[in-house]
Amino acid sequence: MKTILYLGFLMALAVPGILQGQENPLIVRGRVETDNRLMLRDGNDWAWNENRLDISLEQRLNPLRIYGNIWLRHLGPSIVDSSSGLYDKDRITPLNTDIRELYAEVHGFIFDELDLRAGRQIISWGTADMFNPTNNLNPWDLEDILDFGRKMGADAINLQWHFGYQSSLQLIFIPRFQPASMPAGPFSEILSLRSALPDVLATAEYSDEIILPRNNISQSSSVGLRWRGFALNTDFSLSYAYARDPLPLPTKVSLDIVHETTTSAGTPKVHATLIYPRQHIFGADMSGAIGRVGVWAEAALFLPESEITASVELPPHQLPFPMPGPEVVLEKETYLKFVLGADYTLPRGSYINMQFLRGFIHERGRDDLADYLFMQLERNILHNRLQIKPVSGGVTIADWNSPGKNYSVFYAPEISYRGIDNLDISAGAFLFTGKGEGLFQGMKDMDMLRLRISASF
Amino acid sequence: MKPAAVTFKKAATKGIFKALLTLTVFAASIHCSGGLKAEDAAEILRRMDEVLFAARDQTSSVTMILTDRNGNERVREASVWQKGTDKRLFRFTAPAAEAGIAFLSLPDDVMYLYMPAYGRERRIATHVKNQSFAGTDFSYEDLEAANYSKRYEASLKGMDNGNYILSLKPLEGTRSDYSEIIVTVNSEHYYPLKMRSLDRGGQDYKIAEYNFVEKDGYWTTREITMTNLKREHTTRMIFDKIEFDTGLDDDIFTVRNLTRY
Repeated sequence: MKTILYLGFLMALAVPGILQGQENPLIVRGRVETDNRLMLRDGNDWAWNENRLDISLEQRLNPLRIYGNIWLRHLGPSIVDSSSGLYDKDRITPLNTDIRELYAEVHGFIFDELDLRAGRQIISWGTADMFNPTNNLNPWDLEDILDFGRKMGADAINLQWHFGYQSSLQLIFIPRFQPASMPAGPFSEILSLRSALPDVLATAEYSDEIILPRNNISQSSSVGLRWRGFALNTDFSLSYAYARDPLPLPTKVSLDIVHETTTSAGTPKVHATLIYPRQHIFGADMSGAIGRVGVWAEAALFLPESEITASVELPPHQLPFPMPGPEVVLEKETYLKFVLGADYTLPRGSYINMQFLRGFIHERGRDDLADYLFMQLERNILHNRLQIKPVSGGVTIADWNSPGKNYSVFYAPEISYRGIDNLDISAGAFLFTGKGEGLFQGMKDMDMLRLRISASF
Repeated sequence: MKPAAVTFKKAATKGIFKALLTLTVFAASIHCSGGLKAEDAAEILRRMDEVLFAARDQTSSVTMILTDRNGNERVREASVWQKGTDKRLFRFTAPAAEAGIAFLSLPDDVMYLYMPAYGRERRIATHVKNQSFAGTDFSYEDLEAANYSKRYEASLKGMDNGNYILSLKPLEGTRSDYSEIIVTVNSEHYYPLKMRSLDRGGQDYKIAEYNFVEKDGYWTTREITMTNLKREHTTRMIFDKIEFDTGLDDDIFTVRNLTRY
């Protein structure tokens, strides 16, 4: 029903175009895509099955522009667990609707130089590829962690004042808070709080509750300001954002031992209370060239609004293992995340791209930032009919004191066929390895193959 | 529409200039064993630039037919806006997978690429300028809006069927993927007929053949056939719906407009 309503709403965008005939036709663009991933271990389970209709509708009624982008998806396997589920088609073929963007834009709002965009939108800040520490206004869409860089739309008012060819001042107001979506499928645990519990609690039953900020402007809103300029043959921007961290932090952890019988040793149970702390984020980025090499840098200085301490509530009786006391999970001190990147196109058409990243999205505080190196080499062959990515992936070092024992590697080679216009067939693999700690180490044993076919219209 | 008087005056000036230049070239070829004068070549190149950027602004639709060595064809469509001598916006309209990809060329060697899938523009670094633009045989450098006379030093190599043969070599400070461009210039109207580009190693790289037509008092490109000799691949760029001097706003040639798709 919801899907029908959404579609009806999007179709309503067409009405002005129909009324105005060919002068302002409704522009319909889109893509159908199927994305399937197969685990290489554990009985070759399917890791991901997604069939997506990605459709965009646009109506231009100068100076007004109306735009909508919606995903209709069949996502994942059947979730039937009893015969009653067989009467519910949504459980047999789970459907998912995602309004990615839905906004109205006025080009030259009140003043010629001012643009207004209001509604659900994805705001892209920063110059780095995918890893943008300055881009913090939209919540992360981490549902498909292997499609990293995806953001969810945020309901926002976006004002941008333009100066000349390349400069602008942007003011963004987001009245409501929206948390990030967490990874689905086999990677659902890699960013969860549970994975950060002490080893003694690794087998504990885990539950949590999330305390969202009060749904009013003072508690739930975010603001952002960004100046973009151009000097010395370099694009740059300076930004500031006051927003909540879209990933939650624990503020209270309760531990109890539940005894099934009076003689049993008991089962530890952990219950966490999670909040989304506010932070000030000062950002800067640049992109330019050194010689024939494209270079970019992006940095964000995070200042938590307050210190976050996770209190620990223990049961009245003695625990069979030691437990830490209250812990500061986020200090009120600045920490810097940054990206340095470069790319180069080799004479015969191979393209190479490297990025060094300090601090992944879930890492906070000075002592918690790991280093990552990402690299990609791609080459088009057979008159652009085939694209190969023999080198694509990343390395992370969690502890430089013993890098040989604390590294993890992610490797994702891919080959794509593009011999027919509007059709893209890609086959590849996601392979993970490592030792000790590290983000990709958590993905170990989840090697998989991928086949993705998409057609644009 | 360009005023007829202006067109006539320009045509007359061109005629006188051509006669003087031909005479000079002829005299030089008789009296100077060393060949033709460099300043003549510079003037011819300047004249060619005048033809290429004669209109105050220009809009057109472009169909590009890409043909590989086996004769397989793929078609691209785009819209092009140009203003003055140094602003050009190029936006793909078909096929669907590439619709919206846009390229903005601005003064001082500044170029931006917009990919709708990423939702933001990207400066084109120097290393990319020699790359194929969206699979065509045109590089970003080929599509850049810039006077040849500001980037290349010309020397007159001779005549061919009454047309000028110029050798263009990058001026110091010019970043080009070509070590030399040998251009054949129509001696009557000063539009290019053919450009043969040599790579940095001095090897033949690309050949562009031009078909110019007169429209609204301007000599304008109707078709360019660009052949990449190394790839054995050809792109025919056919211009249609050409309009001149419609008063294009500077706002079209901004990052602001580039990202509006």
